[in-house]
Amino acid sequence: MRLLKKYFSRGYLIVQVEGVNLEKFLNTLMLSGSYIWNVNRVNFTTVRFCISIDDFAKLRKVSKRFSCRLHIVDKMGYPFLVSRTKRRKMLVIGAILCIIILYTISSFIWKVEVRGNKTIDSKVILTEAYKLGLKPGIPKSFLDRNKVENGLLLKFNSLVWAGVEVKGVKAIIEVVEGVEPPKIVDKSFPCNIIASKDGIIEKINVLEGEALVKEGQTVRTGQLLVSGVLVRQNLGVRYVHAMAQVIARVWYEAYEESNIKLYEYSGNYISDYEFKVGKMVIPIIRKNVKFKYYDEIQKDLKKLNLGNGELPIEIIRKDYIEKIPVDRNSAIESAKKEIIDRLENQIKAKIPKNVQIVDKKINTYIDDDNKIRVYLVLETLEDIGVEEKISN
Amino acid sequence: MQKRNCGKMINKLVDFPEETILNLPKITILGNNRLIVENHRGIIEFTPQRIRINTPIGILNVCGNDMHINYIIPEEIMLEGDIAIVEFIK
Repeated sequence: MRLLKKYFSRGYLIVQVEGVNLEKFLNTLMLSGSYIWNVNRVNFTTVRFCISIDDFAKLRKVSKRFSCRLHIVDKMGYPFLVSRTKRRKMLVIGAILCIIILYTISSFIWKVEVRGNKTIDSKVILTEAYKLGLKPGIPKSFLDRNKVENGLLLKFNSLVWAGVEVKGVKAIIEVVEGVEPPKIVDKSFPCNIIASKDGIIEKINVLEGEALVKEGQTVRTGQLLVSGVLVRQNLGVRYVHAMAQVIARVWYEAYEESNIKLYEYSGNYISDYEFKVGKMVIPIIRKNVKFKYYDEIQKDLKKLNLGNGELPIEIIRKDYIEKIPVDRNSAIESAKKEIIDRLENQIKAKIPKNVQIVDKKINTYIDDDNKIRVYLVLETLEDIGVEEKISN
Repeated sequence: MQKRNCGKMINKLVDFPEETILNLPKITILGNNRLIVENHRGIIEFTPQRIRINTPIGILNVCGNDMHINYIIPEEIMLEGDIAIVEFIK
C-alpha cells in the first residue's frame, strides 16, 4: 500500500550504483535526508535501490563525491507515465475515441432474434416487429417494449405470450404459442357420407351411421357410403350424423401424344430471297444449300401496294434451317421422359395435398408415323368420404 | 559508565522511555525475516549474507541469507531476509 502511494504520488527511480565503499555511500545518502528503499547488493561493487525523484539531485551530488558510477535502471510512477503519454497524444485520443465509439455502438440494437416459435415463421414475426419499431439499427432507448409485445400478441392470434429482451446489442423476441383447440364436429344435423371420387374401397371405419359398402367394392362419385338413417326394428327410424373414414384407391389418368423429334436444329440457316411477279418466280440471290438435312420455311415479306390496288409483286424469303438427325431410340426415350414429367405435374395439381401415391403405371405406344402416345395412371390412397346433409 | 549510571538515576526519577534517555538502539525482530533498528549510526557492512550496523553501544551483527535493506532513514533501518544470527560485537 505504501509502495502504491509512492508510485502514484511522486514517482521514483530504480538506480544502480557502482563503486567502492558503498556502505559509506549509503550512510552519506541517508544522512543527506533522502529516503531510499529496497536496497539490494547486486555484487561486491554494485548496489541497487529505489529513490524518490525529489532526492535524485542529492543522489547525484553524493555519487560524484564518492566517484561512483550512477545508472538509472527504470523510471516508475505517475509523473513518468504522464510525460510518456504527453509524447503520445494521438494514442490517448485514440483510446478515448475507441471507448466513446464502443459505448455509442453498444447503445444500439444490431440484431433481432426470434425464439420459441413453432408454427409461425420467424420471418413473419420479424417483419411484424420491424413494423412495430424493433429493427436493427435503432437506439435502445427508442425501443418501446410494451408496444412491440402487445402488437405481436394482437397480430398473431396463436401467440399466448410475447416478450422482448435486450441482451447487449441483440434483441430477443421470445414467443409462446398456444395449442389450438381441436375442431369440434358439429353433430347437430344428420348427414350421410357419400363418395367424392370414383375408386375401390380399401378400408372403411365407421364411427357413426351404417356402412353401405364393403371393402373391395367399387364406388362411383356421389354414391352413398355411410347412411345416417338408422332403421332398427322396434325402434323406428333414427337420424344420426354419420362419421366415417373411407379410404379408397383412386386413379388419376392423363394422356398425351406428341411427335418424336428425329431431328435437332443446329441453329444454322441460310436465307434466300425471291421476287414473284404474277406466277413467275425470279430469284434475287441463289445460294447453295450445303446442309444435308434441312427444313424449308417460306415467308412472304412484302406485297407491293400502289394506291389501293395490289400489285402482284411479292418478295419471298426462304429460310433453309439445318437439322441434325438424332438416334431414334434415344429420341423416343427423351420424348417419353418429357411427356411423363409433364403428365405427372398435371395430375399432381389435381391430387389433394398429403395424399400418398401408391402406384404409378405408364403405358407407351409408338406408331409407325413417329407418334408417341403416353398414358399415365397414378394410384393414390385417400379419404373420399364427404358429408351430405340429409334433407327433410 | 558513570554517565550511564547517572542516566539510570534520572530515568528512575522521570518516567521517560529508556532508549531516548540512555541513547540505546531499539531493535525489533519480527519472526526470522524482518528486523528494525531504531537509533542506529549507519551501516558498516552490507552483503546479502551479513549486515553490520553501527549503534551507540557497539556493532550489531546480523547474519543470514538473501538479506536486503527494506528502507533506510537517519532514525531507522529495516532489514528483510532469512535472519539466522543477531549479535552485538563490542
